[in-house]
Amino acid sequence: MKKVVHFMVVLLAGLLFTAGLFAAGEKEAKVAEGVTIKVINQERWAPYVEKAVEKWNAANPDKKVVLDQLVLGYPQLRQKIATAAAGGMAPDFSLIDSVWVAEFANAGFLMPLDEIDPTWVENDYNKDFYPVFVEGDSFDGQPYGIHSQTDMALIWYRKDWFSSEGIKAPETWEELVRAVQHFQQPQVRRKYGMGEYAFAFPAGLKAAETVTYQLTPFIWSNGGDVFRNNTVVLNSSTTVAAIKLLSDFVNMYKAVSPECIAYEWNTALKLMGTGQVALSVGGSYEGSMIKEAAGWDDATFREKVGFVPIPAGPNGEQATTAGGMAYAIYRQSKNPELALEILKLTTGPELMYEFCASTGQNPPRISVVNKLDQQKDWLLVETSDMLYNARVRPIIPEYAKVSEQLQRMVENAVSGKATPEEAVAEAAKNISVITGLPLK
Amino acid sequence: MHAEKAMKKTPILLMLLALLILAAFSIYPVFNAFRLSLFDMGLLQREVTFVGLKNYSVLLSDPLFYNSLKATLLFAGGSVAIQYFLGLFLATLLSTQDLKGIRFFRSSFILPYTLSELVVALVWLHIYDSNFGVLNGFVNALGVPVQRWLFDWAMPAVIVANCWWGSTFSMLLLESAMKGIPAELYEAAKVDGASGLQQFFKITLPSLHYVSMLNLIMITLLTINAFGIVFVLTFGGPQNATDVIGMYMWRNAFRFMDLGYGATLAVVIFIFNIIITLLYIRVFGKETLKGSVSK
Repeated sequence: MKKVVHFMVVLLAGLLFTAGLFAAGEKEAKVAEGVTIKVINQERWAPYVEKAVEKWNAANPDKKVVLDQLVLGYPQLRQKIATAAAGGMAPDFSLIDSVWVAEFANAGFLMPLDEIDPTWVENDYNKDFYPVFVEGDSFDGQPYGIHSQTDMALIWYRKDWFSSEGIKAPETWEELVRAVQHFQQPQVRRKYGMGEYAFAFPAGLKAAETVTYQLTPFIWSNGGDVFRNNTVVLNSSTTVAAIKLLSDFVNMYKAVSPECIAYEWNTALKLMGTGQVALSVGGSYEGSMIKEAAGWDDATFREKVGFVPIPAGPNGEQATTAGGMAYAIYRQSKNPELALEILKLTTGPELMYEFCASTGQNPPRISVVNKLDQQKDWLLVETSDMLYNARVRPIIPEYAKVSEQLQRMVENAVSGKATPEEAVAEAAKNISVITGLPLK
Repeated sequence: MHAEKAMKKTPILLMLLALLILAAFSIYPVFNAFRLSLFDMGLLQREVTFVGLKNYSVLLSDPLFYNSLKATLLFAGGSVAIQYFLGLFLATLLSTQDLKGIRFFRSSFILPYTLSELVVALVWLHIYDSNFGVLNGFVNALGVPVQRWLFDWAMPAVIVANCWWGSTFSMLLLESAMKGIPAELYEAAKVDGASGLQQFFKITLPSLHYVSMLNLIMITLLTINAFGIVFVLTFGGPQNATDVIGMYMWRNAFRFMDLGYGATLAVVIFIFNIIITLLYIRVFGKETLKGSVSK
């Protein structure tokens, strides 16, 4: 027995000693190579940070950077960066959904960019990024996020079918309703081989943030809003009209499946891509996915599918949401200046163009949009026109809870669980409780 | 003498080591969850405030909590009943003497259990898809109108997916217990003229008393704590119809980063688990715990 115990003790000590040697060796090797920058990122974005580091190292052989990049999927990202930051193990910078910037900044986890390099913020950030991102990535008047790409909420429609029916792309709610009703007619659906419903949008908690992103512009397009001047103004006749319109598409015009409350984030685009609907609410990022679902090449897609911003309601103008992912630097970073230098390259015009052109995402920099190829990048060029009038979702630390209330509001109204008036009033009341802001 | 003493101490040492690991990974988190439930704290919150039992009083007035209890009851009730009886049925079939292809059948039944919960959920998501799913293709071929499985049949749909995955566990447990029943009992029954059904009810079932209790406890707890299948298939919807308590806890703890309230829900789930275990023991009788085969 004694022998066994001795053996176990020696084995354990040996293992610990070897692990220690390896760890120390690794640390020494990295110190010798340069300064380690820790990053949490997503798969599509990660290669461009690698390229930025390569560029940096080529230009600065005396200040080399060693990249330690953790690549995750979107569903794990928020939880991972939150637990890392809360545990004092935040990376130097990470990719972050632009709607999370306020809550992370409010928690004190992010470092304002103007605290690191005010000159860059003034001369590049404020001037070359679209104003909507300068506003959307700021909290309490300070910039925290650097947008890497963007996308806009819009309505996809079958340009070829609209044209053959002599219907123009909808610019107002009235035109949208008329177009939807026209395509809902059984003989029209049969003619184009459509499914049971002519229109599609996600309207339930299952599609989560996609619902807030794609349907909030219906509220804006009628002059409504969630917050104004630190007051919850959601419960207004303009919002009720917007929610009623969405509910009517399902319950009155029977042009959207009641199942829309159980749709995944990508169900509507699949229905559009497979020719089962004539119109769908979506995002500009869906272009390549619709093409793929339909099996079209770019020219066919351009010929068959058109897009418009969310049409104007009786009290407002056409509207769209600007979304996208941003990079943010953490307060716990030991090298915020170096992290920002890497980010200047990652989100600089050269790499941003490469990233956006290859992934089909819209560039958030004006100079990059101007560089786009009018023919090859036609979708990005045309959708980018909408960016000057785009808006961002509420910039508040309690965004996740507020967003769920907006999703519930739509789900309750569309499912018939509540009238639009009740659904809006309930959501407004809950948002007021969540944020502590007064109700109007 | 020395060796004998050492031999006596070894099991205690090994058990202490196991207890230490259990304490670190199971007992400590339970205590920590209870501690966290007494605070207003979030991952993205600067201040942590002691609030006593406030989270529990909020919970008791939270309609979504009651909805999640109802959903859990339906989900667990349906899943446990189907898993147990399906497991029993399959185990009985596999225990049949001289059944041809028994290895093939056993392997086929075990196959779902080798998949992770997430993979199972994704498979069923593709099966149930109302527009592009396999099930509607099949149903349509039979001339039945296509169904919106995850909308009109959300709860039955998640129960079926959960049972497809989980019934194997019951089958394995019950089959191994059946294998342990002495063959002489059946031979004696046959001599006495007992039919197959009589043998099943008079010999097999009573012999499975102890294993059945363990099995029911295990599958009930696993179902109450289940989250992945509901998360992928319905995300708790539509209209919170499948918002089971595990899903509700996840949403609060990890989506809203509200650790205090999430921990409160975790404590409630823990208490339910204990109550259910005690209920099973009471229903089956304390004697069952001693492993008595039949009375």
